Amino acid sequence: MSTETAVKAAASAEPKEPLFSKKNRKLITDPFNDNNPITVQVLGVCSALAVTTQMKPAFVMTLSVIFVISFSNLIISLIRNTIPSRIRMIVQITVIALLVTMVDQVLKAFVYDVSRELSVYIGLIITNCIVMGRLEAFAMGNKPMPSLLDGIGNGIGYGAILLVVAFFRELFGAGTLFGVQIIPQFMYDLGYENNGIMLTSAAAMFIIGVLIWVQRSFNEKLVDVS
Amino acid sequence: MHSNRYTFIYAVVFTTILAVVLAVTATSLAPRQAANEARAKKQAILGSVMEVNNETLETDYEKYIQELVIKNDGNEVAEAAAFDIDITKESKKAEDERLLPIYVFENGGEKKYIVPMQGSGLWGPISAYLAIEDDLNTISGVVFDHVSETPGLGAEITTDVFQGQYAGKKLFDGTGGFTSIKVLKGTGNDVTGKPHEVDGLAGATITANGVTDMFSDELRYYTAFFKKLAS
Repeated sequence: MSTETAVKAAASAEPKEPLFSKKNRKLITDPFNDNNPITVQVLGVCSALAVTTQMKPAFVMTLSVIFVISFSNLIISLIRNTIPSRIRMIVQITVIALLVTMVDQVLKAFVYDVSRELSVYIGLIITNCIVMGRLEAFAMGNKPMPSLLDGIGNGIGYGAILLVVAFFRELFGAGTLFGVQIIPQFMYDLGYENNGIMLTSAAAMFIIGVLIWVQRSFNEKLVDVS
Repeated sequence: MHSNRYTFIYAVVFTTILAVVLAVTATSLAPRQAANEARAKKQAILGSVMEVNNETLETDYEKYIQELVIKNDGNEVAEAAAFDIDITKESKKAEDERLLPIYVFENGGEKKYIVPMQGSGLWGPISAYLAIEDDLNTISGVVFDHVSETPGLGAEITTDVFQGQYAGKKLFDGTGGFTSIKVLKGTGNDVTGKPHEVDGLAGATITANGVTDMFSDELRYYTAFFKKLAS
């Protein structure tokens, strides 16, 4: 719950430059809460299960998805009027695949350890339905700037959930956060044990389920959705 | 609606542009990636015999490690460079043509032999660097690596707990026959006093069997060399 308010606070602290009109700001803030890709649209759950056993991969995944989703939104939006409608999905997937491959290559060159852990999942961004969903639903029909903002917003909205889930899974599954021991040794001496189920994918489902519940009990707008 | 002609030309031009962008990225990053891979390999080789200090990795490697290439008859191949050999490629060659790299660690009076191995786990390749003591029988340490084993299950082969079990295990039985080391099924097996067995990983039987097979398949090629050295 505290994380939820933190997310809201972060959202309202967005810079209020003229460029960010009320409508544009909404593009960024909406995916945090009212239209969160995971907890409201229930997209991208597969990758949310896969990379959330630890904070570090979840964090890198978040950054990679933000990058891929915002730039694919931008690119598709820039060329949206030239794309032949019959092959538009193929064009979208090619752009996504291009960006994902570039992310993979850059990770391999600059953070090799992380790339070894994540290379399988990075490839999965191509099939992350959030990315393609935003291209179809937004970038194909909107100007580049709003599309970029929409991409950033959705990427952060996705990443926020990923990090919350990873927080609980790493803390209770391994007693660490970002690989640093958090639960002190004396707790183990007193008979505390790491919860093995937190390391399995099922635990991520439970946590996402609880998050959806918590979010809906606070946000009345969502109650009648779905 | 765009014409067929437009669609076709669009597809060709678009793909070409993306291909060029990708090619430029990949080529410009390739040297950095290769350096990272070489570094990771040195880390694994040294890691099988000593605590690796990332700061002094390059100099430590130069100082302690000598590279050798042999064939399965135990003879040395002088002209080959061990570090550049791709053992996955070698494994597809005929047995007596395979180039077998081996790394010799020397520090003071201490001498250890490090053998690279590759095999397959559940989802993808697994590999290991196995350090063997000067008696060419007792295992001193091992470092495992994998590409895509399940985190928390098969990926546990890279943990210190699992790797640590190998120290002190024996490759050959009392009469000099090659026995290798078996990973048992499940967790909690009693392996004290059993020099050819280590405790397994619950829920990761296929990865564990992959490790067992990797040991018996790969080390077989080195036995002639070991016997030759020992005599």
